[in-house]
Amino acid sequence: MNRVVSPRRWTLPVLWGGLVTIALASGWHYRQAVQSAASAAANYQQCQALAARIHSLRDRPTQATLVARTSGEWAGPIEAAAREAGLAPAQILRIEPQAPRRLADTDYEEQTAVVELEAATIPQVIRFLHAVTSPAQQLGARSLRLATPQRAATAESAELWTAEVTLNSFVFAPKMPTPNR
Amino acid sequence: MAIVWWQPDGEYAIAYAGEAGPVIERVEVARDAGSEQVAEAIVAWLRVHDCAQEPVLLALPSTACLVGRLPLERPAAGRDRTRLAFALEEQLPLAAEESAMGFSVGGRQALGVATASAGIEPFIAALLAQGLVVAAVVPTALLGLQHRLAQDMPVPADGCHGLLCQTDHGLEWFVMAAGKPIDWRHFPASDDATGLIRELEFRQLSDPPLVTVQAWGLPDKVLDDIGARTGLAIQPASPLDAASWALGVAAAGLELLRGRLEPWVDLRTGALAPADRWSPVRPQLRVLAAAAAILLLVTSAALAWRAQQWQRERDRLIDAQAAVFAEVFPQQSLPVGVRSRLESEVAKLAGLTGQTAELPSHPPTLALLGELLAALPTELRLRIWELRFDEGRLYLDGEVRTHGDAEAVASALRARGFVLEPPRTEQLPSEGVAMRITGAVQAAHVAGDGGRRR
Repeated sequence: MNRVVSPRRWTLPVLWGGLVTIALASGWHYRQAVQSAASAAANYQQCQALAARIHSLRDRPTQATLVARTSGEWAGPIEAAAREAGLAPAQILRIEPQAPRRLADTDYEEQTAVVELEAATIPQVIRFLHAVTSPAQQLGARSLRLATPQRAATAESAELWTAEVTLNSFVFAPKMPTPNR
Repeated sequence: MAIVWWQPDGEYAIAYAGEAGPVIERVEVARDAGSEQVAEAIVAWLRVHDCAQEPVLLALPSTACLVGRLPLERPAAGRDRTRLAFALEEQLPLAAEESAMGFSVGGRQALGVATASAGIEPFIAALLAQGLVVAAVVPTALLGLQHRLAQDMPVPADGCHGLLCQTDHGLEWFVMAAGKPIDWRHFPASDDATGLIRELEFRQLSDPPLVTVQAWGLPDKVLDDIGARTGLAIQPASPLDAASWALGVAAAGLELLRGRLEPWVDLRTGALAPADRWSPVRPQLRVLAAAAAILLLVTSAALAWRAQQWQRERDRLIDAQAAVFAEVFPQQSLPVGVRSRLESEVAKLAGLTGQTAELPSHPPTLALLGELLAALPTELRLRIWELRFDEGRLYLDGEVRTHGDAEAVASALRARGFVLEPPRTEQLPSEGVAMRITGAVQAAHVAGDGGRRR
């Protein structure tokens, strides 16, 4: 014979279960809300600090570029600097860009280009260097070699020099994490 | 709360707590009335006195109780109620299943009290059907004795002590040990004290012996007669009449219902045990449950309300983050992760501006050239064939007139901060001296580029 269970027998347990469930759910909801607000507050503080840092960094001169220069992009600033230094285009004997290379274990790559100037006076070389390494060009003179064209130069030609300048620029290229295999 | 005197012969009385103490009133019920009619009459009376919602105590007459003496091997054995029930069952003409049993344990003796459930169970069931809560079923005599001992004369805890009480229903004889009754006999009211005397004589032969015997409500002549026949020195206690005995029973019962007194024997067990053991405190439990439910609801509501406040605060902070982002990137749409986007921007700008330790620094070539040219001595005749700055090193090839001039050039450069090795010189075939000066660029030159790293 089937046992008949009165619905009233289950009323109280169901009511209490519902109440306790509501209380537990409210507690969980409250905890989530508190944690979420705390996380938002921490994020907001960090965002404020990051924004201030961004403003500060934007005011600083850049030392690197995001993309590497193409070979054509080297010629422009070099020729402009040469013009500014009073050098004729023919006095630029060669521009020899090198392939970018990673600087050890850093997030930077260095690009270099060797520029050879012919029959330039020291003031011209100095003006050239000043112009080509101005902040706008984002270039540096990594090395300089000045030589007289011939050791047995005459007194009149001694002021003319062959200048070999190695220009460099940095590319900020963060390393991509290597995927695990 | 109220005390109901149950009498199989139809004499029902009820006691309740009056302003000046317990009040006892008789309930008129027909002698041939069934349990249901009696219960209805009692509940009606209780409703009139506003006691129907409170638990009641059922007081049993001594004639409805059967007793047995139960010697114990050790006092702790008194806690084993099952074993005591079996021992008592052997002494009674009742099966344990047909009776309700209670025990009072005093030292190595226990008093077992039982009542036949068949007589009283229908009455209790009728009371329950009327909505009453029967909290306890206690022998009237034990209630009265408990009250008298608490009021008049506490019995010493050591040794056995006899007590005689004359009530309007007869004579009650108790033996007390360790403050609890360990023997109880009821003698119906009559002029013949033979039964009592025989019991006392039997008691005299039992172990442990009585230390004292006291009597309430018995005339001195009767006491003298009993003393002469038994050899016991019975001490008369304070006078006791039937009315004050009944009031004592009512007072003890009310104290018991209030929870201030623990009954020696409660027969609301076994066959008379309540189906719902919480029924005596059911109203309080309902109040407690309601309070707990309200507490849960209020707590839940409060938590939900506070959670909503925290969510509003979170939304406000998220809006503030969006405002910060819009200030930094006015032209960009809001990304999903504002903070990570800003972190990425900081990392990018730090990299571009060289605000990391990774960006290498090179000596400022232009400044070095200026330093070198300014350092060359003007009073010497000097020809430079080659000048080279590379990787922080200086190389200078040239021609001077004498070996000493080469050292003078090197000294002048050192004075400007170049760290040079001794110059190498070589006499040229024609005239003059070839020189080579090499060295390092001093650290000051490296840092003297206005912070630029190239």
